[in-house]
Amino acid sequence: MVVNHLRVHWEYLKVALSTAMEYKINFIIQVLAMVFNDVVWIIFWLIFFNRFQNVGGWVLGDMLMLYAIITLSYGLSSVFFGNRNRIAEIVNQGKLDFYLALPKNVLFHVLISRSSFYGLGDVVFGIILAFIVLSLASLSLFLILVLASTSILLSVAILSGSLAFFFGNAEATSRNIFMGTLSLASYPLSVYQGVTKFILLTIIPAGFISGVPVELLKSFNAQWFWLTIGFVVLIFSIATFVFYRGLKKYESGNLMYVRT
Amino acid sequence: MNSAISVKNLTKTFRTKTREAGVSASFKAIFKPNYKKVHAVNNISFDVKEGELVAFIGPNGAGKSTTLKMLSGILFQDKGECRVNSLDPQTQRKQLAFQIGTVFGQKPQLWFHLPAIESFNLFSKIYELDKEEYTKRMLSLVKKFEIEDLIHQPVRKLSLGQRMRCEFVLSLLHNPKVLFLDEPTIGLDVVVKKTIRELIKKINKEDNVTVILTSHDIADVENICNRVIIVNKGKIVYDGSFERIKKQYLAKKFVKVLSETPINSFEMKGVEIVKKTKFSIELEVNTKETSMGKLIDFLTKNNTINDLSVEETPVEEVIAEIYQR
Repeated sequence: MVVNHLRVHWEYLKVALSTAMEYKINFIIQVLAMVFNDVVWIIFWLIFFNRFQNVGGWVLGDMLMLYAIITLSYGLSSVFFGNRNRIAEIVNQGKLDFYLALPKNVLFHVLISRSSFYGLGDVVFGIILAFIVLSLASLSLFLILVLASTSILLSVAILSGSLAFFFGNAEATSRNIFMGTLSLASYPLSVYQGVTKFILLTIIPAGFISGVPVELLKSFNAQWFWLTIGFVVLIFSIATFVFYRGLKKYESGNLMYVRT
Repeated sequence: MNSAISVKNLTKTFRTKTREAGVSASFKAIFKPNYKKVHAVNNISFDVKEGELVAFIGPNGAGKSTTLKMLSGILFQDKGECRVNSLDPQTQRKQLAFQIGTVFGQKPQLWFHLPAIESFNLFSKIYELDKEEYTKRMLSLVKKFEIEDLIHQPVRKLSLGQRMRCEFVLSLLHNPKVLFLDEPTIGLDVVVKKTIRELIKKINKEDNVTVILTSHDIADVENICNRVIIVNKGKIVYDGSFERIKKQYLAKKFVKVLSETPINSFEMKGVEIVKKTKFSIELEVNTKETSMGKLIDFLTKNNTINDLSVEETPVEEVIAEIYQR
């Protein structure tokens, strides 16, 4: 079962790669754009920390760590689950028919059937950042936390995409929820206090995507570590549940399109 | 013979929001939306035997596609039940998917930018096919559909007819027992349509595949299927052979007569004069009320006939009439 699904995943990656190679120039431009985007962001924080030194206990190194985690989890999910942000569109335009007529897990199949290889730009960038700020001793913890925040990012995408089952035209809303969560996650956790902080660790799980992992890497705390793992399991279960609940309301459609 | 498909009291309702036109109405609709229930499929039942070729026809929005989608596990029904190869599409979707193939004329499954062969290979993995068997079957299908020269070109460079043949091969790779075809000949030219029809019949005969087909082209139905189910507004209005439609509904005939002597007006039960000139007459004849022989006897007795032709109502018109009931 699982092996078969992984085999299909591998095949899709190969197909995506050969599609990307059909349009080489486009591919290279997209990778460069991603890297450029990341570089601009880093320059901003370099200037910022040059003036202020620290934000609620966070220094430049912590910020780079945060960005390593975000770029890696964003990049990895783009490469391996490239349809992450297209669930609403797929549901809305009746493209889910394709997946429902095939003998594979629908949610898994939807997520993997596209790969955005330009996400590799983010992945490489994240690895370089990690190489700069990470000590070898915390490598395994770092990898676990990257996987955790990738899963949370995916869950947010599934949850926001599933809105399309219930509210119809939810493409823009879904994308905004995802991008909003991501941008909340790209500031130091220490700037958020009180109620805001509580919300970011519950309803909008931005804190668990980047802030908590950075705190854990700064000084390990078993309680927060297991809380993070527990949260990953919880939000992923909720996301899958909501998706399959929505699937029963799926209405298909007759829009004409081509598979690209 | 076993039944390949059995449908009992199948019902599907869609809820759609309705509102008046205009901006103020759209604001009102935010707080007080009006919902309208649309019965896409309304309590239909039928059985299809293994190896049967069944056409599912009806006007746009009659519920053909919705029924097909429920049978293939894409949509959940509200009420009733259906079984395809003894499997329940709702709860056994994955098992069922191994046994059915779908070709939706308006929803291509091939990757647009890739050569068809890559889509074939990917599907072989999705269907968990044995590599050797798959290669053998794929090659024989490719030969049968005559697409040897096409499968290595990106699909976007193929014509619609070429693409459709590739779509068929894709949906047959896993040797499905039941094939759902939703308007497979849409947009194709006459020659390609003919080829596709022959191939559908061939697959049905050689592999005993049960085929359910929807189409707006009556010629498809006449040439491929031995049974026709007509749906309208979510209900079955006719279920039987194509021949029976002809016998039952093709009662009207058109008769044109050219005479050497002037023709006089006449009256006969079941005969209506459509057009009359001095030496010619056009008649609409209801063969249920009067026999053709009686009419021709009458005409030859009273006139010296130069030419006489009899035409049937086109089947399309008959079907359209059934739709409008």
